[in-house]
Amino acid sequence: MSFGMKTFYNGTSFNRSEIPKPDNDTFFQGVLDAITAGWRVCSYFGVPNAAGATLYCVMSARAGSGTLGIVATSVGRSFPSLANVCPQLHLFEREIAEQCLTRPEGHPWFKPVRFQKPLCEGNGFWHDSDGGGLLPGVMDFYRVEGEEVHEVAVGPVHAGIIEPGHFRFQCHGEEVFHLEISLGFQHRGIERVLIGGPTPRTVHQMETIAGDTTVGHGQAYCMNMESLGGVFASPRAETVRGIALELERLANHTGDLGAIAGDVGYLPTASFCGRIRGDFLNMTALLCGSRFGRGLLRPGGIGYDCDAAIADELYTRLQSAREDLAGAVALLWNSPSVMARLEDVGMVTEADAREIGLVGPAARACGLNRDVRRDHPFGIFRMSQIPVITATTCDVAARTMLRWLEAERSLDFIDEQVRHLPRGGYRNQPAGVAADRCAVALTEGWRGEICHVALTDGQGRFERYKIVDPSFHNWSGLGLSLRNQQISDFPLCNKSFNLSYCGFDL
Amino acid sequence: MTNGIIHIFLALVMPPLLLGVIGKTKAAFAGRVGAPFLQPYYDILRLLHKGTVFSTTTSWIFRAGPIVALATTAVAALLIPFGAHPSPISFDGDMILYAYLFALGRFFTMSAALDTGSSFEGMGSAREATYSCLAEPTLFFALITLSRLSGSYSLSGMLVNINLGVWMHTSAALLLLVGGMFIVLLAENCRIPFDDPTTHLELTMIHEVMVLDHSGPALAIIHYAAALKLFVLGAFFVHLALPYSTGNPFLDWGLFIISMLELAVVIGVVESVMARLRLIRIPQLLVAATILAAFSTLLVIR
Amino acid sequence: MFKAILTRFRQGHRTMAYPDAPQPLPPRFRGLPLLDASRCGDGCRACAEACPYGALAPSAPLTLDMGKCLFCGDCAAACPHDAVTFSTDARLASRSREGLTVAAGEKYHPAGALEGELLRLFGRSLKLREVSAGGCNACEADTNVLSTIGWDLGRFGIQFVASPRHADGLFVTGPVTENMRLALLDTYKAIPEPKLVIVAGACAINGGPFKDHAEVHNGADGLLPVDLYIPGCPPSPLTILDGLLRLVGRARE
Repeated sequence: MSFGMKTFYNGTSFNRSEIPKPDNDTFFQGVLDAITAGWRVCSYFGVPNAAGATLYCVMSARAGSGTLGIVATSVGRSFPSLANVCPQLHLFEREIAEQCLTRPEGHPWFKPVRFQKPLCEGNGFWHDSDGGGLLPGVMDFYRVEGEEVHEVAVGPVHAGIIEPGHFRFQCHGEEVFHLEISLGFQHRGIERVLIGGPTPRTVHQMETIAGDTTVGHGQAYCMNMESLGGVFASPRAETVRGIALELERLANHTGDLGAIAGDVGYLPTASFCGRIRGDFLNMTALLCGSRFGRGLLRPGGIGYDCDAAIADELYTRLQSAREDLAGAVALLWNSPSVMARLEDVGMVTEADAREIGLVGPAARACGLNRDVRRDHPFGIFRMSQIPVITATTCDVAARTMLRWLEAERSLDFIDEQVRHLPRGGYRNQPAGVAADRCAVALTEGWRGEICHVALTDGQGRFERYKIVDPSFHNWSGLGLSLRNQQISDFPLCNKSFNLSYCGFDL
Repeated sequence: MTNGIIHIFLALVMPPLLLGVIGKTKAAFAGRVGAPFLQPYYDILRLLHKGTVFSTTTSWIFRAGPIVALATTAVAALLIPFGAHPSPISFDGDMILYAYLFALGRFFTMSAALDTGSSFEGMGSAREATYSCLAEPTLFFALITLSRLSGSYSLSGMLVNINLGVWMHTSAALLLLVGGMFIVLLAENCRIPFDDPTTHLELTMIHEVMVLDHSGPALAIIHYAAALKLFVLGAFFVHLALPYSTGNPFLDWGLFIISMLELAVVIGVVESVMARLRLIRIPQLLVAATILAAFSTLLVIR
Repeated sequence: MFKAILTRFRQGHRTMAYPDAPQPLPPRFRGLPLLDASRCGDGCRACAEACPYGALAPSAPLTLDMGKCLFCGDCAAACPHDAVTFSTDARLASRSREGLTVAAGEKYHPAGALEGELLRLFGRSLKLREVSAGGCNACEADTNVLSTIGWDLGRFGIQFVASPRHADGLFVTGPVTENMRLALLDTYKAIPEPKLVIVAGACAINGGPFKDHAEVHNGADGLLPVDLYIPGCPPSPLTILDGLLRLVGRARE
C-alpha cells in the first residue's frame, strides 16, 4: 500500500513530475490513512505561491521495507488541519501557516512557531498591518486557571551556557501541570536564504544548522547534492563519513551522560564525562582539524582523507576512551543516590511517543524501534549495520542507559571500520544540480532522524530546501514528560532529551 | 581579652577559607587543579568595588536583606565558643537567641527574595521556609541534650563542657547528635545533598535562587554572610564531633582551626561522592535528623 | 563511594598545564593564517574568490580578516602558490576589530591585558554571563568545555555565572538574531558597572555564515561596546582560554 504516494528509497532523487498531486480530499485522506497504517511523517511543508501554497508530505513506512513516500497538493489561503487526529502534524501545520500564509482550519493551537516573516510577500497571521508587532515569546500560552495555580516563566536567557528558549510552566506548588515551550529566538533565516541556492555559503550554513550535529546535517546535504549532481561518494569517503557520524554521536552522548550526572549534582561522572567528550571531539579534529567536523563532509566525498597514520592513532585513542567512559558511566548505575533521581522521572508513554512522532534516542527509550541507520540505510550503513537498542521504562533512566548502550555500539562500529578502511579516492566532483528534481535524504543524527528535502526549479536552483531537525519532532515530547512532575526535575528531563534550539529555529 | 580578639579575628577572616578548602577538595576529587584557596576572598573583594543594579520593582526590604543576614550571623558568631575557649558574649539562655538569630536572618533573606516579584525567587523562598522549619527541631533537641549533659543554659557552658570524658560516658547520645547535626549543617548551608551551591539551574536551586537579583557589595555581603554561617554552624558541630583540648590556649586555637579545616574537607568529600536529593525527598532526610536528635535527648533524660 | 575514589585514581589528574606549557593541537587544526605575498601570482585573486565572506583582500599587502573568516580552509586550497596557509597557532584573540586583520609580512599581535583599574578589579576574579544570540551551539559547547576538568577555567578565577547581576561581563555568541536582540541588550543592562563585553565566534563578530541575512544583526559589534574579539567558527577552546587569560593578564607571551 502506498496510499497514493510516490515511493522511493532514501538518498535518491526523481523528477518532480513524478510526485502525485491529487486534489485536497484525496491528499489529506491519504495522509490520514497512511498514518493510521503506521506510516510516520518525516517532513510536511509548503512551497508558497501567489494563490496559496503547494503542500508536500514526506512519509516513512513501517520499519522493514525501507520505503519512503511523497505526495503533494495545492491549497489556497486555508487547508484543513489534521492536528486534532494526528498530533505529530501539529507543529508542521503551524510552520506551514507561518511560512506560507495559509491557515490550517481547525488547528487547536494556532500560534507562531518561530516568530518569523513568511517566505512569501505579505505579513504573517500574527503581524500588525505594518509588519511589526510580532515579538518572540509573546503569544497566547495555554493557561491553567485556579486559585492555587501559578505560572513560572523561564527564559529566553537561561542560567547556564545554553541556547535561548522560553518555557511556561503551569504549576501547583512544586508540581507541573503543563509546560509550553516557545522557541524561535535563534531564527537565522536559513530556509529563506536557501531559496535560489545553492551558493558557496550553503555548505557552511548546513554545517551550522545545529553546530553539534554538523556531520548529521552535512551528511544529509551531501546525499542530496550527490543525488542531484549524479555523483557517488567513494566507499572510502562513505566509511569516513560513517566514522565521523558515530564520533559525533559518541561525543554528544558522552556529554549528555556527564550533563545528566551534573544535573543531579553527582560530581565524579560529570567531571570525567566532560573530559572524555573532549577526547571524542579531538578525534574528529584529528580527521579534519575541527572538533565539530567542519569541512569534513563535502558533496562528492570528504574534504580530508584519513590516512593510515590517522586511522592508527584513532584506533589507539578509541581504546583508551572506551575504557575511561566505561569506568565513568559505571559509577552512575552503582550510586543509589543517582539512580533514585533518574528512575520514574520524566515519563513519556510509548503510545504518546508514537502519537507525537518522537524520533531518535528519545523514541527508542520509549520502546519505539526506529532508527534511520537500519530502517532507511544510507552511506556506509547500507554495508555495515549497527544494532538498534530500545528501552521500555520510558523515563530519564531509560534515556540515560540508552545513551550508554548506543555509545558502546558506536565504539564497536568505529573499531571495526577504522581498521578496514576501503582503498580508493576520497572525493569526486558533483556535476552541478539537476533541474526540476526532488531529492530526499534522511540520516540518523545523534538526536534522531534528520530529513532534508530539495526541490529544484528549471534552472537547477533550489525552489525550496526543507530541513527538519529531530528536535522539531521531539520538543513536544519534553513538554509531555513534565506532566505531573516536580518543577525542580525540569533541568534533568531537559538534559535527558537535550534538544536543539537552533536546529528547530533554523 | 586576647582570646576575645582572636575569636573576633578568626570570625572575620577565616570563613571564606572554608569555602576555598571545600572547592579544592572537590577539585582534587574530580582530578582538576581548581580555584585557589583564596578565591572566595578575591571574589568578595571584587564585588565590593563593583556597582549595583536594582530592579525598579524592589523596595527597602530588598536592600535590607543582605545586611540583616550578615548582622544576625555576626552576632551568632559572638555567642558561639570556638574550640576550648568560651565565647566573648555569653549568658543564660543565649542558645535560644542563637537559634532565632538565624531565623531572623533567613526571614529577611526570604522577604528580600519575595520583594523582587520573580517567580523563581518566590519558589526559592517557599522551599527555604519549608526546609528550615524541618531543620529547626533538630537544633532544639540538640540544645536540650547538651543542656542536660552540662547543666548549663549558655552555649559556652554546654559546648566547652564536652570532652572525651563526656563522650566515653554518653557516646550513644552524642553519636546520634553528631549524625543529626551534620545533616542540619549541610541543609542549613545549602550543600549537597540538599542544594547544589555550584548549580546553574534556576529551577532546582534553593538558596542560590534567592540571591539571583543581588549585585555588587550587597552580593559580597551575602557571600560573606553565607561563609560566616557555615563557620558558625561548623564551630558548633566541631564541638560535638572533635571535642579535643590540650589546656594550652594557643595550641587550642590551632586545634580549632585544624578541626574547622577538617570539617571543610569532609563536606568537600560528601559533595564529591553523592548526588543531590530530589527536592521532595529532602523533608524525609530532615525528619530523620530530627529523630536522631530526639533519640539522643531521650537517652540523656532517661 | 569507594568505587568513585577508585575510578578517580584510574582517571587521573587531567588539568592541562596551559599557559605554563604549550597545548598540542591536531596537525590539521586551522589556526593563525600565514600569508606570504611574495608567492602571489600577478593579479591572482583565487583566494579572494574562494571566500564567500570576503575575508581576504588580495590588494597589496595581502590581508585576511579573521573576524569574517570561518577557517574553512577553502582559500588555502584554492591558492595555486601556497601563499595562504593556516598554522596550528591558536592564539588569535584581539582587543579591537581592526586588530583581527592579518597582513602579509606582519607579525600578528594577540590581545593585550585590560588597563589599570579594570585589571586590578578583574585580574583574579572575573564572572561572565553567557548569552547565545542565534549561536549554533558549537561556540557554546566549546565555551562550556572550559569548565571541564581538562581546561579548568576556574583555576584562574574566571567563571560563568547564572545571573547577570552577579556578572562582570557579557560573553556573546551567535550572529544576534532579531528575535534575541532585546534579550541581549536587557541582559547587558542588568550587569553592574564596570562591565566587559566579549564576543566569541565568527557569528558574534561579524555574522559568520549568516552575514547579511535580514533576520540577524551581523554580530554584537555595533550593538555593544566590545572589549575582546575571539575569532573562529567555532573558536577552539584554546583560543577562548588564551583570549580570556590575555584579557586578565594571566597569559605568558
